[in-house]
Amino acid sequence: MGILDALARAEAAATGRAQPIATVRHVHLTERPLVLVPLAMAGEAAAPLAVMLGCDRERPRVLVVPQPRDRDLRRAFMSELAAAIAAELGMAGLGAAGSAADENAVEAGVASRPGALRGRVGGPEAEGASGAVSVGDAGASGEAAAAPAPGDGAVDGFAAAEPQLVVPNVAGIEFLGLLGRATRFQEGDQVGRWLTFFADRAQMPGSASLIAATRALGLHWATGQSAVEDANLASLLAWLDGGDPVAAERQAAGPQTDPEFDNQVLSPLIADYDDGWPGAADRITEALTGQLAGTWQQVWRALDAVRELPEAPSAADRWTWDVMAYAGFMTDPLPQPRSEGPIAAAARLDRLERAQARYEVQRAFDDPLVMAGYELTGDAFRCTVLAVERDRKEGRKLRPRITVDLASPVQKNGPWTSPARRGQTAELEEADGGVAVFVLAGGMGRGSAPAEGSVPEVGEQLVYTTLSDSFQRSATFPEDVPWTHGGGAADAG
Amino acid sequence: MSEGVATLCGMTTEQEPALTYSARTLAALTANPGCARRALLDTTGADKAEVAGQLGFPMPSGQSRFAITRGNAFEAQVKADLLAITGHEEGRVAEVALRLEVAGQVVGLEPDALLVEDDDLLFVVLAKSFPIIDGRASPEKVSAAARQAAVYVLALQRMGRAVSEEVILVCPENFSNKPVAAKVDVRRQLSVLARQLDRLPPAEGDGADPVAAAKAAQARYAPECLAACELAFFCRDEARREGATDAMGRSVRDELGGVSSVGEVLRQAMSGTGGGVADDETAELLSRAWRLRQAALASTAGTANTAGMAGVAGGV
Ligand code: SF4
Repeated sequence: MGILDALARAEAAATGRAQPIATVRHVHLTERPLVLVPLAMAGEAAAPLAVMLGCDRERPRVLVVPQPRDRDLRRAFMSELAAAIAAELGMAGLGAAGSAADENAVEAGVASRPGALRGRVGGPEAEGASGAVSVGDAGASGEAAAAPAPGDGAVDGFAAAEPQLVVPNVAGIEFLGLLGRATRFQEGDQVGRWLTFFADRAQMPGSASLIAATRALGLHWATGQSAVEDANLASLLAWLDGGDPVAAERQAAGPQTDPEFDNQVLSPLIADYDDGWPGAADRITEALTGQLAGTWQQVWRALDAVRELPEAPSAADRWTWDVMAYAGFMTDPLPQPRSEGPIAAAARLDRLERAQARYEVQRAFDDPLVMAGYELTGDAFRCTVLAVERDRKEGRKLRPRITVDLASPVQKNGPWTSPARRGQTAELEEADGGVAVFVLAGGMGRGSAPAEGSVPEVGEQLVYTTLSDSFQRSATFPEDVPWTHGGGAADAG
Repeated sequence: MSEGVATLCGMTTEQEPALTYSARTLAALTANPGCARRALLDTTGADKAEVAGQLGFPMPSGQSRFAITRGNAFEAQVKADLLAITGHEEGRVAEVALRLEVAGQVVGLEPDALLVEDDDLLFVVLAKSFPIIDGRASPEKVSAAARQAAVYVLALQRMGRAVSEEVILVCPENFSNKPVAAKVDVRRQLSVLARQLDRLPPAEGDGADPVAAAKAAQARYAPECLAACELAFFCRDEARREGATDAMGRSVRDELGGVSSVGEVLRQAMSGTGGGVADDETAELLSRAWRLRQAALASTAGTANTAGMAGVAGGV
């Protein structure tokens, strides 16, 4: 949070509407993200109650655990979840613990309970607020049975090369991580490891593999409330869409269910289920679907809002890293230990810090509104080109010189880089009042004269910054290969 | 259940205190020591949830039955095997009716903590049902527990008892029900608590209507109140009506040069002067930031993110 973002919050508070803090979309969105809205049982570490998921907003799947304290049912749920994810993503299958060896036992265990889990809903509000469920789509269980026997190392049989997961909020990310941790050490598990990969990946600044809708919105708009309230998706959307944020706050987006719902509705239904009442499982599914439906729509609404912005160039590059990390995980997964040793922890921290720094630079390069924050601190300035010595050389090297009109004085030492020509540096030669002279190096191609468009033109408006997205290069970590598009803008232009 | 225990161990020679607090209340009381409203209600023993309801801002319903059941079951499990779980097999389970002086009066403490005495030293034990997974627990939950435990430690210290400043936190391990004990050093929480308790003004306003008194008293709302105080929705509404920058978080206010109201922030940002009342340096910075922001937005206008912009001119 810098001054500019704080000002945007003040504006939002004064106007009652969210205010932009970005002009481009800093997060890549795939054509078909997989939305997951999980619900957890209160008081338990990682007891799933339900999840609504799917790539099609009109046809979400709903999986429910009628008695979350029952470990067999939980295991069956993970198996269903694995099958549902695989089906949504067009993968051959993700194994869940127990889904291969004792598939029949687990399935029988589920079947012996009245109408346990699975169902496909015809759109959450298709049947009114309660969101009636048409249980009985056997697709999910059929796919589970078709899952291949899990390999012992890699997560095998995948066809989806670029999955992107979206959950409502950061607590949702944490919950997927917990689910992964709770199951990934079980014999034959794959879905736990798969979820763990995404939860870990979500720690990487700028990664779009697993997105929280609240974060995606908060990256582009400021509300007039605090970060505490911004964790609530419904309330955030109310600032964006002109609703009442305080009224919206009452809608819990999970994974924690509303305590009142637990006490008034769910608890008696689970008691009925425990007592063996016929139809109890269906009523639980119906009640939980009602809780999930609103949040489901809100996540899609958030995606729509973010999608309207044009994508920032670097977002696509970061997504390439996400795709590569995923491919690496699928073919040659790194171990996912319970806890890492000090060296691994330090290396990870180092990686995250570098990624954070690079991410911040990339956002500034992509977005004038982010760059404006650096202008305020003197780490960037704007200027207009007055004169250009295009073919100037020092020895045999191309060293064009430009004279610029400064909007504000140059406060720092260079070298300076412009987002328009990222592979080129500018060194201040002299400044006199509002006029300065810079010598340029790099990013002009291999010829004896600068490539077309690689040197600024007279009249061009430029931003120069001390930020550089190729800084701190190191080949130690795969995440750290320097950004490779230096000079791309100039060469292309 | 807790009432039964309270009567059992409350039978000491001392007089029964007029007020009984939970350690959570006391810990929260010190979480926002600058708030006169909260201090007033707490030191007079008013029911804050009740007051909030009467003010038209009830807090949403408390805990899920599932969480309560699980918490109680876990606590019972810990109680049944306290010495072994905490590693004090040689010790004994102790019971002390805890009292503490708050704002000039002696109050009782609800006995939510368990005590183990070993070698003439007392250890405060807190059984919490949030998990410790792979040796790590939620930092917020651990620090809330530490603040709560510090209240018991301080009460014992001020009663002249020898008590360890390391408390024992017992939580379920990983995804099982197996209790695991962890030591938590609460010295920092203790000194904060002691300092803030001693700064509380003496209780006054006895017998006055708590709702009217609450309205009249000066609040000091911050978003942290939402997790700590029953009056938070009322105070937040008040703060937002006043356009308080604090309502957006102290860090936002700090970024805005400490200017306390949204209207004043925007006035300074647009005019660039403190207007004789505020410092011009802050106003200058706000106004530079404002111009940079507008310029960046204008440079991309029409192509990009303009949602919500329509209202700006009219609203300020
Ligand atoms: S919610 Fe209100 S009364 Fe409670 S501490 Fe905050 S400002 Fe004070």
